[in-house]
Amino acid sequence: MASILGAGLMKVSSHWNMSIEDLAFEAAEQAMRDANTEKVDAIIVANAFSGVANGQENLAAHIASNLGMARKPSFKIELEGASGGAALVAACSLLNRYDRILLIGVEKLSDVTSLEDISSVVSSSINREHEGILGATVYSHHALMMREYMRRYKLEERDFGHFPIMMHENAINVPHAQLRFKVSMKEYIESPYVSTPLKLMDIPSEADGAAAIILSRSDGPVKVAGIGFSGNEAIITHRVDSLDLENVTSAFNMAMQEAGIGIKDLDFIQIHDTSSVLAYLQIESLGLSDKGKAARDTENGKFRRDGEIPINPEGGMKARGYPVGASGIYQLAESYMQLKGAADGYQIQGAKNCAVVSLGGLASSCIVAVLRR
Amino acid sequence: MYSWLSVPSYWRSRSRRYMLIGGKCNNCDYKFFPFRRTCPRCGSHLISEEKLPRKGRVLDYTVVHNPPRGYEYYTPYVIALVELENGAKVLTQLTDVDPEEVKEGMEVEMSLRILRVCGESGFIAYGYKFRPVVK
Repeated sequence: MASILGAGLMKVSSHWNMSIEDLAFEAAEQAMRDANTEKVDAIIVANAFSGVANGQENLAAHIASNLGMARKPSFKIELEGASGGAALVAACSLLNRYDRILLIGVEKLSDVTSLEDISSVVSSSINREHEGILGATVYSHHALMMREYMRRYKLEERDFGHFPIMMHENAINVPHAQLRFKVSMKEYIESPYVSTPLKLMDIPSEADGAAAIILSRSDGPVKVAGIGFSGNEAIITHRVDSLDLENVTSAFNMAMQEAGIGIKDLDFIQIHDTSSVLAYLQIESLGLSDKGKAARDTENGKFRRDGEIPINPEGGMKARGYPVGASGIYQLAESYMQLKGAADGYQIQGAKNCAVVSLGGLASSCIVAVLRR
Repeated sequence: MYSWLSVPSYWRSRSRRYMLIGGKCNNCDYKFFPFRRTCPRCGSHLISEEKLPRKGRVLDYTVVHNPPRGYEYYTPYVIALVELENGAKVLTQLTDVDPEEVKEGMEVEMSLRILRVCGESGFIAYGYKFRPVVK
């Protein structure tokens, strides 16, 4: 069984004066210090857009060199938002070969300075040849799912406000969060449309960030108790039902079965909330709410930090921030801190088990990891 | 770099895009677009090309306010999920219609249009869009 020995993370922000290598260095240093180690055997970098956003490939070698580890084996794993989750899966397998692996999630989007270019960069995750050419964006995909969800469950736009409001509330006490301010329902309703009915307040803002963990075969404070991984059709028209996230359900069941625990044993869950509708669909696919009822349950406080089953105690992608390819490593680093009792100001008291959901695309990839203290 | 559109990539899929040729599964009869050689529903490899009907109805739609590079000129524009008469689903822009007038269930038909004009290379990319059925 794999253990996490240490973790580090940077504030999610626009780090104008830092390069992608600088960001990675900072998080890696923190994680190594936290794990009290100076030596790792391999490096895995989770990143989504270095090629298209920074014009930088061969990224893992550059990051390893900058760390003074040019001789070490290094890999980059790219699976859009699920890069971090996928890196964990790969690392757990590679532990047969390397005893101690440094996982770095890093994303550098502030080098892209116009809205149109950012829209192009993040939309490179949908199919370029068949969807992108039509002028579709990753947001227009979220919007189509939101419209379908509203129609199917007879919901209004305001029903989607409950989730971002909760995320912003959670982020206030989190030092590394990007958006540490409250949002009201009025502000949600009045926020501009990105792609109707999807509002600016439904989605994260693009940002820079880096997080790192040290994974090892030897015993550590937090264990990776179970992993599940399942995919879904990547082109939206190829999905028989555009709202079917069955792969989230099966990845979750796989991970929970491997960990040998039930949903009641989880002290919190990290989901991949790249839009309010995708958050609701995940909540329902994980079995936390009945179909179409995630909005109501969110409004009633079920998922608050002090609720029945807390979701995203750090504010999620929405408010902690969304450094795309790094986001999965952020979730793991944060969960490690929660389970160690080191989440000062946003701690879930006595947390012992948690699940982390890492999504790529519109759930075209789903990795679930169960962590245990 | 961000607004990349390659001429060969456009060129190789042009006939399927001009004529709306999708896939038909000879095992489960599922029809789908864009074409590929495996069935999205049953996984069968028994797929043939199928010219899809040019008419359908709007399932879901969105008005895009933050376009990618190269589509600013058309903003705001409508992206819709259209269900064709034989059940296949197509992602498309809607044209010849005011975004405010678009409704779920609206009957639409295919029309060949300019998708975008590409900056430095200057080539003009054509493809399908859908418009309200002309009665």
